[in-house]
Amino acid sequence: MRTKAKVIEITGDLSKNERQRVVKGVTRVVDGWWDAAYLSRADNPFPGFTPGAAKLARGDADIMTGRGLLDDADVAATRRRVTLDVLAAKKRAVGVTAGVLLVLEAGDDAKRYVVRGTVELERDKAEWRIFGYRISAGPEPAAPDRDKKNDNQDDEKNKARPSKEDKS
Amino acid sequence: MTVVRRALRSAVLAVILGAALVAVPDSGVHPMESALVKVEVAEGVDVGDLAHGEDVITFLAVGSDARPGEDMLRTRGDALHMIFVNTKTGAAADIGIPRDSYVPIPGAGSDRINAALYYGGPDALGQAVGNLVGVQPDYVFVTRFLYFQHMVKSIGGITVDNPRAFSDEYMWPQGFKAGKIRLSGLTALKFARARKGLPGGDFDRSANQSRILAGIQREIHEHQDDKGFIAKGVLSVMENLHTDLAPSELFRIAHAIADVDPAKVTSCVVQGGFATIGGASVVTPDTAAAQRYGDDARNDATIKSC
Repeated sequence: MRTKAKVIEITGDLSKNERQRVVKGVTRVVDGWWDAAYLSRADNPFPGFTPGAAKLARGDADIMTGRGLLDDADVAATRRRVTLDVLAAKKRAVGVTAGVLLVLEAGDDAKRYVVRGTVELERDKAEWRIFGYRISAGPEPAAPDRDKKNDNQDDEKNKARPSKEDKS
Repeated sequence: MTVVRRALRSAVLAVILGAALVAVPDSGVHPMESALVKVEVAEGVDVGDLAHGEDVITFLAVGSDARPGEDMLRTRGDALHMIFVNTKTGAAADIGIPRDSYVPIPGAGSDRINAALYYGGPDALGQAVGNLVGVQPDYVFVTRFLYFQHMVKSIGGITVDNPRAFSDEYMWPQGFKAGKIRLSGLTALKFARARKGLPGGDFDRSANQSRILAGIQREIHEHQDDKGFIAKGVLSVMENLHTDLAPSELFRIAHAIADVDPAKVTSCVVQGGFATIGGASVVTPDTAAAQRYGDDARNDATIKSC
């Protein structure tokens, strides 16, 4: 399932090309974390984290990975959203506060789990890295049609908005 | 040295009459079934090698007395606060230094501590304060009146808990009420500068400056999830404050400050006596207390008592 990502705020100036690069770069890092931590049993659940943040996150593995939430159930993502709040200096993005939302369904009874919050990223040369996070995770009552309905509503809303926000 | 901070807390999400609203990032709110949901939250900020200690990063915050046209890095540093932030526990401490404290100034004999900025710039002032409290600051941030006003304005103003009503006939004759008061950029500046009408004079003024700093941190903490808030704050700092830190480093530190728990902020003002030295009125600081505050704060950013 592809992650829907959009820029919701830019402080400073960024070209359209730089905006798109930031969206792609940040989304790649968040996807890497989600895929490693919640959708597989990767040896390193925190690719794209700074060493210090990875150490921190390992101590919070019950939330920052699917380990405590999902046991050994088969897991699929039903919603993947990232919003970007960007700080730019001299027309270059230097920091991003990313709002994140990952909704998972696990097991034969399709229990839903929601991982949400923010991660903070800085750019290290060309690559983005997560240096901070505030993440909550927990079960959510199943509502099978809600995601599809809300995704459609969001798509309609996004079509109507002016092009200040960048979507990928 | 890599510095990490870790906090794990639980939050209980309460419900109202069969519906709970859960906000998702910029996707509106979605009703869900009623339930009392215990939500685990994990948080942390890695400041990398920005902190030279284990978990605590230290700043000297300086309000320069520079008037229009004067170099703010070469006039007197009148508001002096040594700040400690514990990136592991979210605690923070603030040691207020009276500007007239008579101390050794590196390379300039002895003088009031605020003169160190005039003699040797931020480095000399950092050393002088560091020698007094026994902890050298990792960074020295210097601002001036108008820039300070701009920074407070950029975060929408602050709220401080004022313990006593007072007025200063020169600075703010209309006075400040006791209790929780909302300050704009201008009134925050006046509150920080007012001294007449305070029974403890400059010591009380320094304590009011600590209240301002706590108010700024609280505002950042409460609004950190507002889109653009942290970024605009960092941009304001870049425009209104002297620092050697790169924007990305300021961004990291801003998030570390946002993560401070306002309930874990402690502050003390170094007290002292009065003397006349070389015809100038000075404060003879309680150096033992200053060192004790520094010792308390250096490892965990918490001052046990004033």
